[in-house]
Amino acid sequence: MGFWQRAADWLEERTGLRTAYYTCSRRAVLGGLCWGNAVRAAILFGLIVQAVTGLVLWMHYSPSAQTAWESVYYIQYELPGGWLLRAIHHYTAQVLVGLLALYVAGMVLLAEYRWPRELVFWTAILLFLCSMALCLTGDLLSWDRNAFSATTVRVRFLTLLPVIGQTLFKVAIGGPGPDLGSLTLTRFFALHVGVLAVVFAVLLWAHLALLRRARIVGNVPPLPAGPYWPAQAVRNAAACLLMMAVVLAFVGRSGVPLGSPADPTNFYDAARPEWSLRGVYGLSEMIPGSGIFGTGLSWKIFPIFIIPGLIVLAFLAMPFIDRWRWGYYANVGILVVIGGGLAVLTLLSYQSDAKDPMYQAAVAEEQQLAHRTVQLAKGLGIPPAGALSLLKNDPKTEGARLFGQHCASCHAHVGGLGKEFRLEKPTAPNLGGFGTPQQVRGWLDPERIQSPEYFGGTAFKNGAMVQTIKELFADLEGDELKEMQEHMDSIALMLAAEANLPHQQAALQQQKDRIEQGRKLFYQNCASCHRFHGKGTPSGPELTGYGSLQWLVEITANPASPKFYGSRNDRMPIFEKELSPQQIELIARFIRAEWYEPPKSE
Amino acid sequence: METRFRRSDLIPNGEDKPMADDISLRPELPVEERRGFLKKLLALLAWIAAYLGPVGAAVRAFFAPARQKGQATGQFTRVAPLDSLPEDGTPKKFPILAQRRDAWTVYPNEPIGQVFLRRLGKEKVVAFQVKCPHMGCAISYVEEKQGDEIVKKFYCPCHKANFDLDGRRTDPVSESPRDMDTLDEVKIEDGFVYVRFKNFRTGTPTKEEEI
Repeated sequence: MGFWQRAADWLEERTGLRTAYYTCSRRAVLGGLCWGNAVRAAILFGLIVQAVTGLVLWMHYSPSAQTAWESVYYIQYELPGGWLLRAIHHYTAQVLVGLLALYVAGMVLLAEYRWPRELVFWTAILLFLCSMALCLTGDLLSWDRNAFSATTVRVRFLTLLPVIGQTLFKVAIGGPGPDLGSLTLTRFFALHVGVLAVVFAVLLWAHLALLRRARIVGNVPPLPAGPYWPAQAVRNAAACLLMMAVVLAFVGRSGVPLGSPADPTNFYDAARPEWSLRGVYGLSEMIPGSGIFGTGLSWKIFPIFIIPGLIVLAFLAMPFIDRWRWGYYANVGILVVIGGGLAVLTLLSYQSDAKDPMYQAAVAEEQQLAHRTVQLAKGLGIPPAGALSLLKNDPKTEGARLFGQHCASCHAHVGGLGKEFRLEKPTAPNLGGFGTPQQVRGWLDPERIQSPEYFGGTAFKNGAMVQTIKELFADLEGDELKEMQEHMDSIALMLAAEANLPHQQAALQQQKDRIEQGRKLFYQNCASCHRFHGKGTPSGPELTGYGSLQWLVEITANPASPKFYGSRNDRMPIFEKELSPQQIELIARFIRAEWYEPPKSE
Repeated sequence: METRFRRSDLIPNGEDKPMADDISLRPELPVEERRGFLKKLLALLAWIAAYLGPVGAAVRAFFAPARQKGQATGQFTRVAPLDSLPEDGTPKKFPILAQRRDAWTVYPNEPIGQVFLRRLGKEKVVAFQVKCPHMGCAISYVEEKQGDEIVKKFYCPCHKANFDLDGRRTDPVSESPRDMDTLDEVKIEDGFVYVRFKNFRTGTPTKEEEI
């Protein structure tokens, strides 16, 4: 006896591994070889895939409000292979939900709930429900805007329940609310990896063990039993491979998108449930939210709790319904009505979103926001306060939002960099491209200054500035006109140099002579009304540092200060009363297009 | 009639050695009848006693949120200058800034919620909770073109609920269980609008404060 043989015997004596191996590999497949077993093998395969990918995701994930999105960002964009890992985990979950739904449907069609398989059938239903619960808890973990908003709605459904609703809601989110927070994440995470994943594994084990027992007890007369290895094994392996092929087809090249970080103050308007719950979502839309005849309960309790509950009960009751003479057909009828109904509702719901421009706009906006967050995270790194703080300090995002909220009812922002704001009847100058030579030049043009782009919508439409420019250009022709225009170009260049916008600096560097000429011309023609670097008479706004960050911050904070318009200020609010210094600075930087842009790749 | 498989049927190659954990191999022990009852009771009590501490602590921590109260919102918060509200009654959205606590993290000055303010007169302002009474999504103010007319309304995009500018539901079958929640305590002082901010329960036909 060789060494290896003796070693194997030694191990066999103590562990029984060899017997176990033979028992498994030569074990007869009860009921013969079949593709039904391959489906079960695929479900088991799905569980193993989820365990392996989930474990490695777990090694990189950190559940808290400041780190959840950030760690998923790391997995998605920095960890080698991380995006694929996350995508496989995501789509295997979706495929498992679908597969389990089809599996249960198949059992109904084949009447595989009959004695002695009742428990086999019930565990299959529980497996399906457990896979849904895994999706619902896993969905939140990315902590992006969609996850946060959709889960908020889902958990808030608990408040529909009488008496205990509010308490259940608090227990579910792990805190007093009203918003989901870090404790919701830790709670959902523990449920996902510690409870539901284990429950799923135990259910699947029970399902397979019960099935084996049911075959032993129930097969009268006995069906032929074929060997597992390799005839059944090859079918099983093919089913697993097919399943992974489907998963990888969903994964494609892009994987699962990651939205922008959760923001309680910026609820996602296009928040929707996963495809598997779209049918219930569609059903819910058909039922009013109002109260049920003074009971203090909303009708919504029907689509959210009672009808889904009844559907589950109907399936659980199938082994009993079957005892009735036409029971089998009744069960198939239940399956077709429920399955078909949910499928139709799902389609209708997707269709209605496809036709809804507001939904489309919200999706597009969110994609932009997500793209921008990733840009900032890659370029600047994520600070301890989390990725949301990157967005909240980004002039291109938050500055634009504040501009939209506080400035865009009067000022358009067209023709510059960043988000556009168009107005039908602007009552204040367009601030797009503010501080560029082309934009400044418009103030010095007798036509343009009176247009709605400049003073056209304001109280200064026929004011001193407009008159002065008109007089300067009055009756000029030919060379004189050309000379005046060139002078104005120089002044515009000089003022643009005061603004010194980040994207103009290089161009302005090459115009030093003309800028110098512009400065002289300014003192000759403009300083009688505008103060400039300590000289001139202050009747119009001071133009020292025109368009610079400080100048914009000051004029936004208080346009009615004597330095600017004083008592002649038109309708512009004194923003230091309603906005914080940081907010005003963000608006000023937005107007100056002063924000982080990634270096252009060659 | 009834056929049962024997183990040798299951393993075709006949290598059916009895397994170590085969229950038939275990020697049967005599059952102690009377003394047994006390022992069983004792065993049960000891188990319960042993588990009481850890399970009790776990249950208590798990259900702790049930008794927790939300953010104290008893104070008037300064929301916006009166001048910043359009005089034609067009609503504007403002955040309510206060100290926000999430689990162990305290944010000194963050939005704890949002309100719509509408100016309805020289000194009259109404305030609405931005949260939808249905499921707590954020309601938007929308200007919608219908033909040549511009219709101003409130709209909740999650489940498509429409409200007029007074917060009343306008759909024939509304998703929302009640009209938009007004914040009834609004005051104007030194040109600023102050609101006593509250959250309300979602999903209920009657408006109740969420605590």
